[in-house]
Amino acid sequence: MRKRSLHTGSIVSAILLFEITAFAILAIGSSPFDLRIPAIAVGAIGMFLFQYGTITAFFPGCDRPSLLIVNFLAAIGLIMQTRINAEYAIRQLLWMGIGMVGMVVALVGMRRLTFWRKTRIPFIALSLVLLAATLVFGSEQYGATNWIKLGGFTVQPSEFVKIMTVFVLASLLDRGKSVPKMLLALFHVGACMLLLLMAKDLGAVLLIAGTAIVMLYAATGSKLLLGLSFGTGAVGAAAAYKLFSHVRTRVAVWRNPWADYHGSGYQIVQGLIGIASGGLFGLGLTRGAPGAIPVVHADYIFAAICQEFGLIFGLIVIGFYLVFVVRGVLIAMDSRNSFDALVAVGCATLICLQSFIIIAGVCKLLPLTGITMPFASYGGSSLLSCYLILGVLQGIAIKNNDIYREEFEDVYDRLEADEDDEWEDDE
Amino acid sequence: MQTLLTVLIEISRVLFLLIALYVLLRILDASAAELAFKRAIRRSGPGRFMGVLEVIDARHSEFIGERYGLKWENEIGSARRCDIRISDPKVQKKHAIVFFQGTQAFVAPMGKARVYVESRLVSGRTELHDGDSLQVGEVLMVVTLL
Amino acid sequence: MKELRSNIRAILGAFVVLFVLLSVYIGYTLFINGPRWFSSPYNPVLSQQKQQVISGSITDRSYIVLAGTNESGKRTYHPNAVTRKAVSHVVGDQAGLAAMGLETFAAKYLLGLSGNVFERIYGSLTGAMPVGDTVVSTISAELSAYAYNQLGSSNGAVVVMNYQTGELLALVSKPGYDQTTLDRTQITEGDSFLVNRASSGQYTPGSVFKLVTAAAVLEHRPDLAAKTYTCTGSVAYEDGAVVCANGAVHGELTLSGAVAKSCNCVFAQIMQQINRADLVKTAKAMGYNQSYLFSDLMIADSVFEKAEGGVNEAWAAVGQYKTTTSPLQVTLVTAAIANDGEMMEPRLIREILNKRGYAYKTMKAKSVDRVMSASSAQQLREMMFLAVKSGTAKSAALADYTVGGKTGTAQVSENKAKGNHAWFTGFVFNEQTPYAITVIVENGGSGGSVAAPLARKILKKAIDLEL
Repeated sequence: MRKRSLHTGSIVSAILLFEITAFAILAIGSSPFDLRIPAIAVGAIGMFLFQYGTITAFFPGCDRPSLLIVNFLAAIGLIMQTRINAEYAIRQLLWMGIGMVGMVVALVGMRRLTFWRKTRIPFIALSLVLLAATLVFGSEQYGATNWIKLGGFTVQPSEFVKIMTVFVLASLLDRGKSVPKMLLALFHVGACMLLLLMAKDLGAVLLIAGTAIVMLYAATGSKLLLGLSFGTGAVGAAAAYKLFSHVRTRVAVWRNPWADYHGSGYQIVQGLIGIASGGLFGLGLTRGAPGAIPVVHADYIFAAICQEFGLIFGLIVIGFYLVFVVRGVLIAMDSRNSFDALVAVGCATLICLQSFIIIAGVCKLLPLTGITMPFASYGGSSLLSCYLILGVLQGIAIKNNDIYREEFEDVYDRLEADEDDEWEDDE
Repeated sequence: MQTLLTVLIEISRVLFLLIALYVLLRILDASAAELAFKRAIRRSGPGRFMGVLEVIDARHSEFIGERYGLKWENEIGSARRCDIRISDPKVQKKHAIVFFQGTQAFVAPMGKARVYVESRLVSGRTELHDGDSLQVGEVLMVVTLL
Repeated sequence: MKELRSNIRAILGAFVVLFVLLSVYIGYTLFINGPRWFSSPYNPVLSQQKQQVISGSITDRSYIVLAGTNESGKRTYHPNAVTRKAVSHVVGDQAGLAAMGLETFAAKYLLGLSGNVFERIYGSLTGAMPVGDTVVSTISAELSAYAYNQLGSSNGAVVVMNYQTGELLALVSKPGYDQTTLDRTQITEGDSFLVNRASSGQYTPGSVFKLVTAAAVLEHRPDLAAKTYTCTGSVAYEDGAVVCANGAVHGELTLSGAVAKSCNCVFAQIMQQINRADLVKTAKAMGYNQSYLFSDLMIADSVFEKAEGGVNEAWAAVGQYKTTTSPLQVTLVTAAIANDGEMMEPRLIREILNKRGYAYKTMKAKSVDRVMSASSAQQLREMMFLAVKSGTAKSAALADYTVGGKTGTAQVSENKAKGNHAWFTGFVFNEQTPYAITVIVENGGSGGSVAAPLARKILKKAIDLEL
């Protein structure tokens, strides 16, 4: 029976090797020699080691695998950003730093359970205010009005509304369900979705709807409600299709992007061509042509990854997302109280749906919705919110593990004694 | 220099794939081991109870003297799948749940069942102390925390 | 809590299924569509490669260079203008205009993207620009040029195919274009010379479709094949009438005679007796209403629309009404008949040579499907022999060789001024020269008098060239 069965040292070294080799290729390949690249490399590696080292040192009960996965994904993202344009990478690093601080804050914050319950009404109000403000003051980018300029930065409030929704729903769906609580939950979800629809942020609408449905099922287990909510969703989608022309265009372009190649279909076609060009093993870093794909540093980064690293690598990246989500759900199952469990489920669902929707969109399984790839895509608010989600999950995981340790202290002691015995036998 | 770059890129095509595969498999392996470990802990040995419920009085005297060990979550009721099965007619199918948080014990009634702690009807989650009396249906028990 | 946990477990299962489905979908769609997306003229990787690699050459089956690259990196073509035009659609255009040529389909080889690691490393050491592979196609430049000339001043297409291996010996579409004099700035999307009429042209087949109908009869109602029908020159329906071409009255005929003499009336009578669904089924088996994904070339979909009403059904059965097909598709059917019912995939690439001249990849013959039984094929062959011996295809006969064929005169307009398309499709039944051919002369007139003689000459040339 192994107690410390992770041997994380080897995984960390593997990730380091990956980063060093990739940045070396980028640095050597840059002509004239780009001094920023070694700087970014040092920053990336330093941040990785610092973050991983301190978190595991201060919080030994943390969930190491998901932390490592996030770092690997972030590394892939950074490398691709540097490849595309070093400016993006520098900003990405900056936001990663902010994100990591946010993660620690969320992590520590999760320990104050009762505090979160009281945030129900403030969160609802804040969400609605933020979304309304974006509609009124926001600026448009890529066809959706979901950005606000603050000083030199652009923020995307919908990213934070997503997390707040998880907390609101968790506290409303927790033990002691009652009709007024359900109605309030319905109101919040409905209002947010409406505001987002008006802002044409279809991706966020899908995410909030999906997460709400999953959390509802988790809390009630009622297949009837599940069916009802899917039904409403389908009706809503059909209505949106009929009412909104931008929804119709998206669906039309999804079905046959080649028809409007020079217009709206360009992105999808180039994305597919990009992935196909990579073959199984990829063209090799710097050998592809990611620049031809629009928004490749953000939404479409998966296409660039498949083009230069290969399809198999791309599938492994999907595997990483899956493992991360599964670990999130396991953390939910280990939780000691239903609020934590619901929050964990909600967070895991957010990451799951987000990564699924964008990858499916790039591969033409679903229409494009203006969502980014968690941890890898460029985008300050997206990155920050993903790190916050990670922090929340880690916080719950640490709580679970600490209780485990307490409860099963003597079992742990007994098992450690056994392990020592085993080692003695080997000698 | 160009050659070095070409060699590096060609190596990287395979290397990166292997690294990604390695990390993924390692993490999967570690997760599986962790799950097995936790499962083993939960099943760890008989007698590893956190508390005991002993029946000290009941309408149907055959229950008196029964001892039930408490795990960290216990459903009490007359249904077969309950952790602590008491087939007293006044005990609901799912009557109450006794659970632990850290070293504290709590009892919570399920549905509209009536649960009394220290002869007082409880309405929600209530803490149980060592030596408290707990009554469900017409069965009176005493709580011992280990 | 326990309930919550079991609900969460179910959700976990759903997430896993979701991602597994995603991965399977990605693998599948890239396996099917990947090569085609990669060869798309819109692929920037290919354009990038073109600047970093010396494009390999495209040659005909006898290694005559049809497209090469000179020292200054410019694309060069065959010295003879007619040959250039005749093979223009097979070769394609490097700039991607006639995007269906080998320049795009075989870009992977021509641009050295299927090279191996060590070559690339060695190449970067010597600093020389890497050279792409040579693509040896199956066509014969001489035969193609000859066929192009035979079409004279009319537009049209000629397809010559080896019905045992599927190799295309000629895929000629007139008008072709001359890459050396092409003014790319003057081209618009719909320009007709950009279309490869042989593989992408959509024509009314006319009587060559009778081969499909006859196959349907042989496969589903063999009893009708022996029956004798009477042709009185016309068959009347509620909503119209079917007449034989040029007012001919053929008298008593069996199915065999109806094919040989191309009698519409007998076919109309047969249509009243066979099950309409069987004809649709056979047409589908022969490639109508199907989308083929061949690896070397694109073929336009052939359409056999269901007809409403007796007279329309009858016209559809003889290749009029709303049926459309391509000359290549007609060839595939004829080739299948010649090949005992086994339809072979049309190949344009014979082998790939690396820069040292070593053929590291040789294309193998692939079968598309068994589209009819061997005995039906044999019976159809006999009918086609009869057509050449004493039927409408007499001008396709070759001394010393057994030739089978079917003529077609497709009416394309009520307006008599617009001529009918002249079709001929047939084959030489010989082990050493197993060639199937289809000729279409746009608005050329009668299949028997215009297309069949051309086919004879082209077949003779093909035999003489000892390809």
